[in-house]
Amino acid sequence: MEELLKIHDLTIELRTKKARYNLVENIDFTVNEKEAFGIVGESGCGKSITAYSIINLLSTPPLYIKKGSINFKGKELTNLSSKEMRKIRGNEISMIFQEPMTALDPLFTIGEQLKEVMQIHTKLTDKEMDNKVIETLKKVEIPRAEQIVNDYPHQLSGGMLQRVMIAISMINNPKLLIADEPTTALDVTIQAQILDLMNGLKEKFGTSIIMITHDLGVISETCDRVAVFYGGHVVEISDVENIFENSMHPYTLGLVKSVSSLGQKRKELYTIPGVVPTYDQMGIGCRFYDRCVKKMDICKNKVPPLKEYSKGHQCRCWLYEEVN
Amino acid sequence: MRSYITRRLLLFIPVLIGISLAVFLLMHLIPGDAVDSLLGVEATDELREQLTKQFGLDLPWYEQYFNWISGVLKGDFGYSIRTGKAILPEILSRFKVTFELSILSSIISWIIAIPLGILAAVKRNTWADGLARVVALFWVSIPNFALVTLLLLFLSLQFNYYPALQYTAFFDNPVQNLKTLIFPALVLGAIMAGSVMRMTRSSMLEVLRQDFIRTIRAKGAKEKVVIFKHALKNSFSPIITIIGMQIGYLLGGTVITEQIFSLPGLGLFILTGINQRDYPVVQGSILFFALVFVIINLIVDILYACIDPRISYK
Repeated sequence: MEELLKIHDLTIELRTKKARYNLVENIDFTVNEKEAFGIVGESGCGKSITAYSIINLLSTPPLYIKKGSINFKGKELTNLSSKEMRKIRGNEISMIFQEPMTALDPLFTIGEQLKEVMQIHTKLTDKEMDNKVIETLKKVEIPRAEQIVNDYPHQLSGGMLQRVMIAISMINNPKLLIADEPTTALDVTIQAQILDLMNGLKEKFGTSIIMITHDLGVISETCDRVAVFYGGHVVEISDVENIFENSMHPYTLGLVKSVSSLGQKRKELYTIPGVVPTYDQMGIGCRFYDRCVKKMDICKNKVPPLKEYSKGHQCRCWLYEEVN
Repeated sequence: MRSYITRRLLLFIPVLIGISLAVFLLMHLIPGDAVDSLLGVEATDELREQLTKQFGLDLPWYEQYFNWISGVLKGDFGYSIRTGKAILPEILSRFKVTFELSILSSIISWIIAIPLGILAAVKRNTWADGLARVVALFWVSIPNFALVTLLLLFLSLQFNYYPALQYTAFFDNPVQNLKTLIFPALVLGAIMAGSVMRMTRSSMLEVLRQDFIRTIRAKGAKEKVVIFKHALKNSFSPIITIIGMQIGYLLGGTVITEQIFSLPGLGLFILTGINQRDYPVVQGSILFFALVFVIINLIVDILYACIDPRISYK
């Protein structure tokens, strides 16, 4: 498998008047071609800002890339001028967001908003664009596409709008689609439809997907490999089966245990004790230290390294360092 | 849409009846009447009585009101007690001046305020934003008469400019007309610009924070497109609201500016009318002003629907 996106040692900093904080630190992961890569973690763990930093949509200030590299098809994205970055956005790498209801401009029709992304990146004629709009809307399974192009966002439901967002992001055949919690704001029944749709599109277009979510269920349904984020660190990377079957990091174990399933009826759900520390309360050691059930002395003062322990299975925990 | 406009136009009727009644009664509550101010204290009772009768001031108030309003409905606003001239033609000819002044000063204010407001929002919390906000606050706070006086003083000392004594209509001599109006328009425009700029800034800031702006950036759009095509259009409703209100007030006449630049506008007409207890003049002008104000409001409401597809009037 060919590497498409390689993030190495990425650290993103929040600069305030008083101090600077590393919101995410030493992020390392690789997304391969035609692969769905999941990023899972609680809110505030840095998964979204990591994704935004790929196409430089961080709100700067106060967020800055402090160090590290983001390599996309051999091109270093952190060095690009804003003009070069604009050529990649919406064209080679596109993005969909959590809230479809607010992600579209309320004053423009669906058709206009789909055409806009082609006007930016292609030289198609108006007629060709109109055809492509209808064609793409049909690909994302929107009924009555011919009428919907003339509708405004407020006339559609959340699920339909998310399909429109997907159509906007796919219309230029990107190599990589970043989906930031694309189903969180939707009804459960619609969630499944959207995930199915994205799975299908991945096959059809050969697009790689980065799926950001807090829901392990979404990961298991859509992803090939997954990175678990905690407090701005990658704590475990593995293929999806191994995350569920052979989780290594105590945090991943807790996450997997706290997924509800049908067999578990009436049993109390497992919860990980404690809360995620905020960025200004991070210690100098392992960021999961306070909540870890297997903590040791070394964990308090030293961050464990992210290491590969079996093929394709990386973990950041002192537990396994000792064994070796 | 058409039925909405019809309904709004029908609503004008109760509004205008209410306003005409209020104006009428207020004028009659003011002690002293036109006869006193016309004749002075030394007039004979006989003469006084004769004039009172002539103006119909001896009738009960509701009869006076009825006589007046039925004339108004026929397009006859009555005659000035002072000058004996018909009021409606006078209002209309003065309104032309006021209208031109209002439009000119509005355009000036947009040219200043909207780009500055956008700049301040886009460069928020930088020195440019700070400067723009301070200047805007200054314009909002400075009283109209102070600015007019200072400007006039400056112009006459530096450039030997004096306000024209004679107003020239635009179609008679456009250059002379603009020369007469440009400075009063600048003053009024600058004052309007303060609040329009502040509204533009805050409205833009609110829109720029919204999710869809991020979507447009993620599409690879240039910042120019993000700001002018999407953010500005979405910021327009509150800006139009405030512009509409300001034009409404301006069309009612700006007494001080008109006085200083000796423009024969509506404001001065009303003021003179009040001073001279010229009931028909005041009543007629205020009713006219009210009508203009509700029309402006209607236009603003229609503009909302033109901009925002979520607003539809049925």
